[in-house]
Amino acid sequence: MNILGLSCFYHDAGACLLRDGELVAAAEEERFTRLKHDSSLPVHAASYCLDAGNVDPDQLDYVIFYEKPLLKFERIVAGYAATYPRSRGAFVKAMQTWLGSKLWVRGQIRDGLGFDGEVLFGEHHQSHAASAFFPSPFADAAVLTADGVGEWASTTLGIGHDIDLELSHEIRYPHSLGLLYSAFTAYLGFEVNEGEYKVMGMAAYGRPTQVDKVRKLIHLVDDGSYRLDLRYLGYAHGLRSIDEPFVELFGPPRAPGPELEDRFADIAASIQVVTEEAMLGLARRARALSGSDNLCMAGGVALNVLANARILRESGFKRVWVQPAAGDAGGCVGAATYLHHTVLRNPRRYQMDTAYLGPGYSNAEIREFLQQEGVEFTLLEDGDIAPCVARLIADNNVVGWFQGRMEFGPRALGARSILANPTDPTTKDTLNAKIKHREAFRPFAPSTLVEAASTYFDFGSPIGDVESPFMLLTARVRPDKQHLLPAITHLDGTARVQTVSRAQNPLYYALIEEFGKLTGVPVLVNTSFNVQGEPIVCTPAEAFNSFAHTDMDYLVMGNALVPASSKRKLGAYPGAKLVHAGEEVVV
Amino acid sequence: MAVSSSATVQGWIGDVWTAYAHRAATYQTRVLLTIAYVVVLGPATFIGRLFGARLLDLSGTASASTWIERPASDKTVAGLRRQF
Repeated sequence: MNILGLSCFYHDAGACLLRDGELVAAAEEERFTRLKHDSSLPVHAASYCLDAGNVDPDQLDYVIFYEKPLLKFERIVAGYAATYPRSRGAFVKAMQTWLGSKLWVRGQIRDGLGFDGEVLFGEHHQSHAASAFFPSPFADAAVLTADGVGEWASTTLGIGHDIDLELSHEIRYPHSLGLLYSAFTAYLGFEVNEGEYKVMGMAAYGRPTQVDKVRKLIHLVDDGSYRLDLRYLGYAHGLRSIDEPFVELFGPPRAPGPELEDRFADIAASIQVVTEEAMLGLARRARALSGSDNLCMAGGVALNVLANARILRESGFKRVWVQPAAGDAGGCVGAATYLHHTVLRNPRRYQMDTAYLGPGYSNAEIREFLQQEGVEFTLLEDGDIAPCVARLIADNNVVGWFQGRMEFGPRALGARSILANPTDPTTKDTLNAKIKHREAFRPFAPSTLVEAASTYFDFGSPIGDVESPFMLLTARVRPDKQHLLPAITHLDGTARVQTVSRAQNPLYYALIEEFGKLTGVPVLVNTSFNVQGEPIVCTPAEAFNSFAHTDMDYLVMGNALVPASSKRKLGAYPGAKLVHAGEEVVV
Repeated sequence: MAVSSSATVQGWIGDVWTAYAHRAATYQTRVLLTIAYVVVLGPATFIGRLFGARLLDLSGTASASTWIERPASDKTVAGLRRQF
């Protein structure tokens, strides 16, 4: 049975192909259109998924969309009615897009994909929940989802057991932890739905001195729920996420730019602390309702790695699993798996051990591309790739690493990565200034061998060793190791860790292992292979072009080693324009 | 040459007309939606408020729970066919 899952029309469109319960392929649309956070119907991602599965559209049993458009439309109209007459501008703008396209999802899918069969509609948070539970390693688990908003719900709790999934409780719009965090993201001068992780990075530079003020906006209730004071927030009646009382409370907003002022860092630290407390409350409630030791999470707020780490340490759950594409792009996986398991009653056979579900390119294809472009390169024997590249990194070279199938989700996990030496104190500044062209306060993440993780990092887990294969947990860098890892130890002594096992990625594992032999530290700096504003590279041409536009020292694609002297710009600077604007928030 | 110039002029006029028509349509849509907002949504909201309709939970006491118990979901293909 072939099921195509789709999520789109808000932010981060994605598609996946589920065959007999196994995830064959999944990818975000932005990787193909090169528009970061592209929300359009994912025709390119869907086409890739069908190609990867050797499936024609007429061989699909079902296509399922990740939410119910008419329920969402009802909420939007109700919201604007409830805030009448302040909502006129937002109403007119929203109705133009809804009446023009968003209401006609079934027709768009059929036309866009050339598909004549059954188009089904999941429910937004049910899709998130299913994307978290069914690919997880757990037979039973509590499920927690939190994001901006779906149809009506912004937060849900439920229980998954084998092929059954039931959400029992929800918090509804306009109360939304995700929209509150986005409001602070906009206030702090970052793009909504893009800059939330920058707020997390900024938080480490501040002290949570503004927590009392943040608590005026969100009241945490003893039963784990929360309530927002909408007087401070603008999204219920307009396109701005904050209102004048917000500015009166916190002062003028931060202008976009690389500068970092203490006042804003303190505000970032404060919203981060309150978000963690809110997520802890939700997780404790989920544990009380389910009695399970396992927690699965999805939704955009589940990408808050600091909150995830506190949940692991303090909520009482022994194991926490967050799927790699926890945001809206991953909703397609949940819609498809919910249909396959809970509705059609098929058994679970698949576990998402890796995120390598995107396009891959053979050595021959890479070689052909390089030869066509006249690029000079050296071919490495398979067994020489890891030792050779490890030596380059140990010598403080920055290496573009393009291997195997592309990752699904926002994190580069050793398939489309830029790698560097974590023991060199200058690495962070080099990467920020010369390659990524981004704010100096943002940290870089480490990849390490799963067996070495506990030597260097303390996750604070109640059951000891923890795997973090999707880089969705932070850990404290052990105090006696911080001096060894200056490039990845953030100001607060934490790091967003990826653990790598040999089974998950043999070549990347071998590379880290070889680097460990050379330096005594089996840890690499791993940042996504892109420049600021650009989606992560997908093809060899995109990788080579980004390499050519930056100060990377080497590019390793498959078994081809390309030196900096071979750089040649194939196109314009790849930093793409963001598809959403500033502080506007679409609910 | 004359045919080519004529085709260029026609193409240019077509482009200008298309751009104008698009802007005019966008403007008309905004006007119509504004009228709908005032004439349809306004009175409906007013009547709803008269009868105590609470479309969004915009206020309430800070300590009150916001949890809502969800009914059991419809786990059928027919349920997934619905867009609501």
